[in-house]
Amino acid sequence: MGENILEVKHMTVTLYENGGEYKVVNRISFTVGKGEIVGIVGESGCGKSMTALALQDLLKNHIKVTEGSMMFDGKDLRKVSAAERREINGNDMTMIFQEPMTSLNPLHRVGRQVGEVLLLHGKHSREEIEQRTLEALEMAGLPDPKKTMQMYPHELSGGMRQRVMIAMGIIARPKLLIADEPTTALDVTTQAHVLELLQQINRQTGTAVLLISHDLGVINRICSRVLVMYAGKIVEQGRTEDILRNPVHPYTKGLIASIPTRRMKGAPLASIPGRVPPVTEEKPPCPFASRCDKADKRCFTEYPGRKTISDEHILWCHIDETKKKTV
Amino acid sequence: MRYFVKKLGIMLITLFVISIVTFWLFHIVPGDPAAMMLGTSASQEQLDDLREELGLDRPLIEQYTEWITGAVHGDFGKSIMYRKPVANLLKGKLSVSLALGAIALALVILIGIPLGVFTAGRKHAISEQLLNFVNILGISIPGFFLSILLIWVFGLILHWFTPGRFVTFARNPVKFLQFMIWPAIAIAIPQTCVLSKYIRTAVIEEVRSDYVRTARSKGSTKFRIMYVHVLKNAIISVVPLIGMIVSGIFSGSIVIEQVFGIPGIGRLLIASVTSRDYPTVQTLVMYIAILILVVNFIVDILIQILDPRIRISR
Amino acid sequence: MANILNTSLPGETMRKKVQNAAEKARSEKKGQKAKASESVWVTGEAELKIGFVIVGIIVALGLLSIFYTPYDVYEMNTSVRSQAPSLAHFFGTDNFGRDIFSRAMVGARFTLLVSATTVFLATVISIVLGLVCGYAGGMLDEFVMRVVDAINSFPSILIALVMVSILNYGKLTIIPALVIMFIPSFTRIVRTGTLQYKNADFVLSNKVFGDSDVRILFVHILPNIYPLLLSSIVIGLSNAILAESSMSYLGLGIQPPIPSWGRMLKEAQDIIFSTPWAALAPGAMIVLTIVGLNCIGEGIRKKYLS
Repeated sequence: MGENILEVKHMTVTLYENGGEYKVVNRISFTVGKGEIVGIVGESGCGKSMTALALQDLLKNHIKVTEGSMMFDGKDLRKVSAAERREINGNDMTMIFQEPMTSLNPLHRVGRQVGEVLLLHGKHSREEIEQRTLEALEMAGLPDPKKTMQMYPHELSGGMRQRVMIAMGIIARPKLLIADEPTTALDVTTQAHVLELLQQINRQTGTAVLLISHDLGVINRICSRVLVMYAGKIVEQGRTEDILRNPVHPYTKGLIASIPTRRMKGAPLASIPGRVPPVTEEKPPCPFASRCDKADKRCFTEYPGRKTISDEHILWCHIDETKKKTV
Repeated sequence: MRYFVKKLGIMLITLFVISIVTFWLFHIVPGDPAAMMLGTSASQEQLDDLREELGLDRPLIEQYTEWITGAVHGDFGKSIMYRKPVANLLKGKLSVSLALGAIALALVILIGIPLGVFTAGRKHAISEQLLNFVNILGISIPGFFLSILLIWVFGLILHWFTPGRFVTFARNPVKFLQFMIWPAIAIAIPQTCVLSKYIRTAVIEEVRSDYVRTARSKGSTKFRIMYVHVLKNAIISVVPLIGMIVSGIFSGSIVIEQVFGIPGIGRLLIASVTSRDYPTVQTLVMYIAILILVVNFIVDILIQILDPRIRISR
Repeated sequence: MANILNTSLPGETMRKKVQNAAEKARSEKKGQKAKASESVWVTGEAELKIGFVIVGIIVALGLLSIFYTPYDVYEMNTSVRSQAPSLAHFFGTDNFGRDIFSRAMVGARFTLLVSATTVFLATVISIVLGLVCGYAGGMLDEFVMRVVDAINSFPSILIALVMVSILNYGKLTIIPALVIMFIPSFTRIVRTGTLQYKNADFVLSNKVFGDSDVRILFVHILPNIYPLLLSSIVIGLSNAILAESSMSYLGLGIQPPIPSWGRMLKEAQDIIFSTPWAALAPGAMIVLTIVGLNCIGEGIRKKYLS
């Protein structure tokens, strides 16, 4: 695998609300290698977005990273100064958001918003900024970049706006691009295009991508590795093909079962009963226990330890491998 | 362009309707204006004379047509109190009032916006309550009482200006401003409180929006986020309120011209209402209506210019 | 059909907003237990208390003045002319030797009476106008709302001045003149509220059961609008006091010799060189009353509307 661009260790994100403290993300550890595409999957409300926002220091005031370390390119993101942080954001580490309709400033032209990244980082001449903005827009697959530069966000469709966001994310040639549900708000065809684009960027520029999605189908398309997250914890991780072919955690299985495939056309969509518990709720040691059909007493009394299933395939569950095979 | 023409058309129609309503109000509702102007002691002869002079013996439509044709040509009839054309009375007064209004508006905008932005950053419970209280106090002080306090403190105790001694701009611009700043402050304070409160709310709302998160994700400084991204969005959401603020400034200046003894249209209006000088009141109402309409027109255009989302085909 | 869509949509979003607001209020109440010191301000309790105390004192002074004032209000006593505030005269005396505090007490009575009457009349008219417009919709609604908007865009004092000048002013002309000023904003609130509830399930079900339109309007819709209307009425009251004293200051409100705060301020201004303190009592009372009412209004808004 080589070197890692991002190493997160025991990161905890805490929400402070109504005098209480709630762990939205609970001591998670993961890595992203240079030039790798890693996915984080899970239902909404399980802490994926919080993880992403924490990496960019974009959490709201009442949510804080309270534990662990985030090593990015040799620097601990928890220890950098505000100025260093501004230098990293937008330059070395960029982010694409879930809401393409509202993530652009409605009053600035597209070109200005994309070029602003270069304006903020390093010294670039006006011509250079314009040139690179054009290139970025073109690379993001926007037809007629010259014309697009002069347009306002409201004149573009959701898919085009997301491409603008991507252009903004790649213009500075970052080392890591975080994409938080970049396709959720888009229609299916546009989704496919955007995913292809992310993969293409990854190949051409060597930018590592951290893709966050609730849809394993999306992850499967471009990620080489995947982390399955539930209620602030990572419950299973490994190579995408391993996870998909040989899922062990009941939650992962549920997620896979709910991917609609052509073969299952017409059959009712399988899904996991219940919902992600709200962060304010008290949870058993294994957070999934209350929704798990295979849960036994142990799941409610002790936290499941780390188990290595095969190379890189790691599991946090009490489930017995041997028993599982007989089922 | 078509948009402006349309807006202009609507404005003219509104003006036409207002002129009819105003005319109707002053000719129908009070009964006989002549009798009212002269009071109960007038003889029949006097009444008839005045009626003829005012043209009250002719049909209403004819009276209206004559009045409106005259008005378009700058002839608003004759003041009953001063016995001279209303147009002559207005000379010089309009510019004084407009200057007063403009200074007040400038103060409202120049103080209200920065104050709103500044206070938006402070969200601690105590300072927020303090702000809230100051705001309620600012809105609650009647302009004329505030004026009296200003005259007392800055005029009589500190001698920063001479109360009651208005100096025209033509004679001495510096003294004119030195005098006018005080009534302008009295007019501006309540409106500033209103504006800064709206700006504050708008800024707090905008700061929470997604594009601000994007800007932070790009590595923008707080300063840049506030002044390049948030402020313009916040101001745009407040622009439609300018009409209301200008209307409030007019309200304030009508009373406050009286307090400070400024020879503007507000003072003329009060004098003509008190003496029932109907042609003058009618003319002044039309003038103020036009001003309000023009301000609203400008506000509409301003929104067009500032907000690309509403901007019509380019 | 299009019309129904038009009118019901804003209602829908409004209702959602109200629901959201209610949820927010509930969650805020939860927080209140955790931090009691902060919460009185969040829920508006503090504003309500402060407001009621201030307004209560002023109203009490006004009522007291019917039976008792420290000095006679109209008697001129040349031996105590232009006296500075002292223990004998809390706010001093004017150039005729009249006790300013006593006059301000009586002034409270008349100013409050005129303002309250004004707001009451405006509320009654607006409720009828707003309910009918919101419920009936169509041309009538369109017309009334246009007029309301037109009046609203004018400086409020100008409307009052025009009314006073055409109504051949007598002692009470000030009341109808001010009523006109308040009808537009009140009507708009009642109309918005009516639109919001006229297609609500409970209203529709009552309609199915054959309730008459009048009954639906006054029994089912109106009570739901009260909280919204109430805060506007309180704010309206403070505006009425402001307008009444402005008009009295201009000599177009309550007529002399009855003392009113506005007129007292006018008289105080005339003698500002010799007796500057004459402005303090009536001015302070106006400011206090309006601050008190605005506090109550803000309190109601926070407590019931979030």
